[in-house]
Amino acid sequence: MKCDQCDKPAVVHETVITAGVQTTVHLCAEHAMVQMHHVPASAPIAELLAAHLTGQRHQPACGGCGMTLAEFRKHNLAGCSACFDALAPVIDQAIQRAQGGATAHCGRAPARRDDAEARQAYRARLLRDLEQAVAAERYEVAAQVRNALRDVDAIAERPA
Amino acid sequence: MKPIENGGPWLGPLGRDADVVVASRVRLARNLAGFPFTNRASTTQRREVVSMVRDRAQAASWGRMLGWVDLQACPAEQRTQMVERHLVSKQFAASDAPRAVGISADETLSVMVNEEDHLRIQAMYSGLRIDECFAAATAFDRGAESALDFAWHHRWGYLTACPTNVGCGIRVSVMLHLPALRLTSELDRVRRAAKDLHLALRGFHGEGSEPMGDFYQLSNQITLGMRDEDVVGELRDRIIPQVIRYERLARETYRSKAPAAARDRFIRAAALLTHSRLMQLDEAMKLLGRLRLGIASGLTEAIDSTLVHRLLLQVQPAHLALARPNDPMETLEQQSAARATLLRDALAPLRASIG
Repeated sequence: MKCDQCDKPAVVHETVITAGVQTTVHLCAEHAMVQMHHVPASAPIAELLAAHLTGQRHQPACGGCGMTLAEFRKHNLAGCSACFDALAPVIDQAIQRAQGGATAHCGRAPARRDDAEARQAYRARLLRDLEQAVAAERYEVAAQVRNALRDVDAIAERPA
Repeated sequence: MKPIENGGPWLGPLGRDADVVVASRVRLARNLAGFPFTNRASTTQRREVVSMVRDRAQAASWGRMLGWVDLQACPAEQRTQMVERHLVSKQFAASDAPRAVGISADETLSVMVNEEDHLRIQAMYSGLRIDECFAAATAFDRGAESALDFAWHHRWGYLTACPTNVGCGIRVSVMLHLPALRLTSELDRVRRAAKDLHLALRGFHGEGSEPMGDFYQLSNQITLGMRDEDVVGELRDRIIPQVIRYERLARETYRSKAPAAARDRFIRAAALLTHSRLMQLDEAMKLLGRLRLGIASGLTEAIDSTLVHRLLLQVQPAHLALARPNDPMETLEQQSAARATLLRDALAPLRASIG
């Protein structure tokens, strides 16, 4: 099969579902690389695919410290606080795997934390992720995000 | 660093369950908000983290008890000595980046800055004293958070570089002496049971170390979804008592099945330790382990376990070299000779008693 954009053989075949409409894209390695640059950050599976297929292992994934998914997977270490949002859901899975399936912190918190604001920002991000996952019919991801939302709300309701 | 004779958490009172338990430790992992974690921080940022933590600790009642050691300015032998004394980790001693450790005068509290996480707060006591460790580590943590902003996430709790520490960042470790479980081949069962309970059974120096002299560290692996006090409570009330029971049962079995062999093992260990002219580290650890079992079984009253604990540290290479600055230590043989001399001298009362 040929690439959608040129005559070279296609090496990437991706099925994309946007708002319920399914399309299949066939791309050569070169065009795949170009295309994947435009994949929004909220499509981590496509991002992963891009990293694997095109060798773009050094493309920064975390805005805070530049940690890429490939680097995180290699060392299993986060580089900064921002990684925990930037590398989701890969980092979520790594944490849950390491923690016997536990999905959220429970117990004490630092006295000096900017609670409400940070929680609202995190909640807003999760809601956005949920919307996008549902729109793309990625129900497994959607379920995970819903669990995260539930955990965050549970933490908010707990007395300090 | 002062010589081990002056104290150290290992040499405190033995307390209850000292026949099996050597020491307890609680470690909390914390990071500063606004800085990349150690693995991504620049040299300048690492320096900033060190001075920030040290300056704030020195200025406040919660941290004033710590004396600070700059690892970059510390000779290799002293760094190794701190590893041998369980005050810092091996990786921390070996790295060449800016890092420091604050140690309390009695060595029960140590705070590594720029280990895998910005802060590794560690409290250690002899015997089964998890609660005291937890209280000491938590007191420092509470104080520190009044002066420093810790990295925190609304879902994951305290953020740490490694996913294995995220949440409450606590690691409770109890150092156990389990010679009978190993002798009766029950240790693998304990190891499997521990794994099922999300616990790790490791060697003498913790992560990645080999068991020496039948000393093991048992520690929790889960830090997320459990309150730190529940992690502590589970090990203290449920798990450690069970392991202690198993080990005692195995000792009983071994003694009743082969009383002469049990006594012979002890006498042989004592004879070798009190007469050898050369003694390598692994052999010394093994024999000291047998001595400790003999003491716990009532086979001698000439010495007590505190002496064995002290020797377990003193026979380590850096302790040996630093305690005998005038002895030649270039070769393994010279080191073994110095170790043998140390053991013969320290165990003279035992030699007299075994005749």
